[in-house]
Amino acid sequence: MAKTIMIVDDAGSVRKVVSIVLKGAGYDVLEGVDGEDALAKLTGQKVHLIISDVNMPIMDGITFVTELKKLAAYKFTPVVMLTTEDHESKKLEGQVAGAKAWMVKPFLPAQLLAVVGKLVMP
Amino acid sequence: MLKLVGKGAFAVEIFIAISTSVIITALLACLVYQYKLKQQLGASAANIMQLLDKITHGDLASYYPAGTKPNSILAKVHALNLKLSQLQNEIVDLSIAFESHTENPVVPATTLNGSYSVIFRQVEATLASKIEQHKIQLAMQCRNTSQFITELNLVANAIVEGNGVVIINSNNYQEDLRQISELINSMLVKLAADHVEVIALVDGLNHGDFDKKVAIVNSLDITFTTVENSEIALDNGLVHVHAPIAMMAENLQALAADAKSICKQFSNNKLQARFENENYQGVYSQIVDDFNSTIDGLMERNSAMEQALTDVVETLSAKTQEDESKYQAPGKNSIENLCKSLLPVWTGQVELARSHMEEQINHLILNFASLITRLGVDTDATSNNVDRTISTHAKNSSEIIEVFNHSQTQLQSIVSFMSSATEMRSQLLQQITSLATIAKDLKLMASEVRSIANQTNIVALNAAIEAARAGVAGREFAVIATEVRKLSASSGETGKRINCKVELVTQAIAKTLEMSESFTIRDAEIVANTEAIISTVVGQLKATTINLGEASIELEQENKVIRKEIERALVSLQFQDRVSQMLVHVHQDLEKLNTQLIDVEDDENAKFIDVDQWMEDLASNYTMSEQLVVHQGGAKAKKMDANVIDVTFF
Repeated sequence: MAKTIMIVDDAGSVRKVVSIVLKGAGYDVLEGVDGEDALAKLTGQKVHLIISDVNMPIMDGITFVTELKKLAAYKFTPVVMLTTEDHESKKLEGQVAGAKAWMVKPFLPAQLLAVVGKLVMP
Repeated sequence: MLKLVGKGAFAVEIFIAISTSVIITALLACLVYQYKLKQQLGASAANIMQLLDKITHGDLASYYPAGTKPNSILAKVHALNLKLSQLQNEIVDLSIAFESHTENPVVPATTLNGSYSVIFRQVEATLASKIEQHKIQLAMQCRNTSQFITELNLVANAIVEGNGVVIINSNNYQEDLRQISELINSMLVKLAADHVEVIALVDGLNHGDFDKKVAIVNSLDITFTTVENSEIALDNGLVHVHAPIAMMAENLQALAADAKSICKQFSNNKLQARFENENYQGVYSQIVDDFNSTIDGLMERNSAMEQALTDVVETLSAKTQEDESKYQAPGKNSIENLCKSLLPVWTGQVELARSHMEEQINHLILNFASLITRLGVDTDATSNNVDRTISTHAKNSSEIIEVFNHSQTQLQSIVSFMSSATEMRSQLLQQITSLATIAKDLKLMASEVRSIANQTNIVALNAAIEAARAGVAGREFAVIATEVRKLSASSGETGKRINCKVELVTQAIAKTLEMSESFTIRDAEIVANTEAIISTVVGQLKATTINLGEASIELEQENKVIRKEIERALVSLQFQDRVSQMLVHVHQDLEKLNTQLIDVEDDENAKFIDVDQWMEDLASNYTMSEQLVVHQGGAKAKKMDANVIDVTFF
């Protein structure tokens, strides 16, 4: 059974690119347009990895990860921050919130798949 | 002494200026309100004066047809009653307006903060307290007036109903009203007495005899004279009433004039203005005292604020001089300088975004163009190549079919060769079978020869035995010799037959050998033909396979190139997000500047902007380091390289 990965980003182009790459590699993909939307869609189903943007309206990525880690079902789900943000202070915020990796846009599909392969839950 | 340093000093100065103007506005609003109130009270007093004037100087005679004088007086009282009711309503309206003003303070609490907020709140609380006191006094006035009017109504009704004199209770009124009520009471007592007398006279006229009626008429003359005298006395009394009311009106007018003067002084920022209360009496004096004490409190607050303001101004002045000497640019924090600083940054950001967009879009166009070209090479999918594509496909198909047909024909010839070989081998089998039969005959013949040989041997043995015993009797030997000849003849015939068969065998073998040689040659030919055919077919298949393999490799290479191009296109597409964020930041800042420019039109103070703070705010919104580079150093920022991945694992 294919593993499920969620992409959370307000930019439709990024969601689409990530979705194409992951589906091409055989993953099932869930999409969220911001933190609040993603939390609403995470209803307890098994998700093997979450990829999230940082700067989003309504609920930003750091808050989203912080809230996610409070949910028992997703406490150990690895999160990759995929963002244009490259300030060290922001990376530290992401680490403190519970993210496993920080990836700066843009990315090559093979590189994304390498990071995903390294972190995705068995 | 309050000391302020740093960039906030200027903002504090602005805040203090705003706070002061707000406080003065609030004071002015209170004073203007009081001024209006007093004007209205003055107008009400004037109404009373006019009314009393009419009573005093009105053409009473025209209301006095025979026997109706008392009623005309009542009519006057009714008119007075109406006017007083109107006055009562006006005072009630004033009271409501006053309450509404108190419940809705001029300055909302959310607009102030800091130490000046505390000062302002104290001032406001003092004002509210004073206003509350004034409100109570006004309410008392209203109540007194209201009671007075109610009692006047009772008096009027009592007179109308003929119940005699009703005395106005003056205990609850202030001195002025008390005097008025006493005068009115005395007038009423006299009018009531006259009224009783008139009624008695009229009754006498109705029921008395002539002499008595004449006497009554004479008395009536006297009574009318008395009534007229009473009216004159009433007039005189009303003149006395008029005096205090006029005094009240004058006081009110003077109070209003003073309030107006004070308002004017407040508008010129002179808080020292006070009411001189020597000219006022009673409640007005109290109002003036309260107001003056409020002013004193305000002046104390004002002095404290002035002192604080002086300190702030001194600090600001020193800071401004320091800043100006530091930057050597007077008016640095002007909106013009802000625009000068911002516009190059915005231009840089927009240029970076634009160049990103242009570069990546060009990349996209090239990528997709490359894809389309390569797809065209692979499939001849372009419209002008469609016919050629079809014919090529058809040609390729027919060639393959021809190759297969040819292969089939060649394979059939192999089958034919193989069939003829099988037939020849069958004939050979038949020949061999016949050889087997001959061999069998030879075997039988050999057996017969062996049998003859045995018999000859036995006969020869017997002959030898007989010849030895008889000697003389050799004639029997001749018989044996005959028999031996017969056997010899038989043996000779058998040998002849054997020879004949052997000859046949020899012939058959020779034929077999011949056929075998023929087969060998034909087999060799078949093998040679087969080899040639197989070599041809295999060669053709090999060529086809090589072609297919080469085509497959080309296809695979094309696939790899196309996949790489698509991956690059996907990376290029992601730049839309980066560009979008940059443009959003510029857009937000442009909107902020636009709002600031609009504010400048309404408020001169908005011209002064903390440029450093503005730039700092803008920089704090950036998400990409290249934005910060542009912000700090112009448009020469290093662009993001999509081939260099930036991943940090925690």
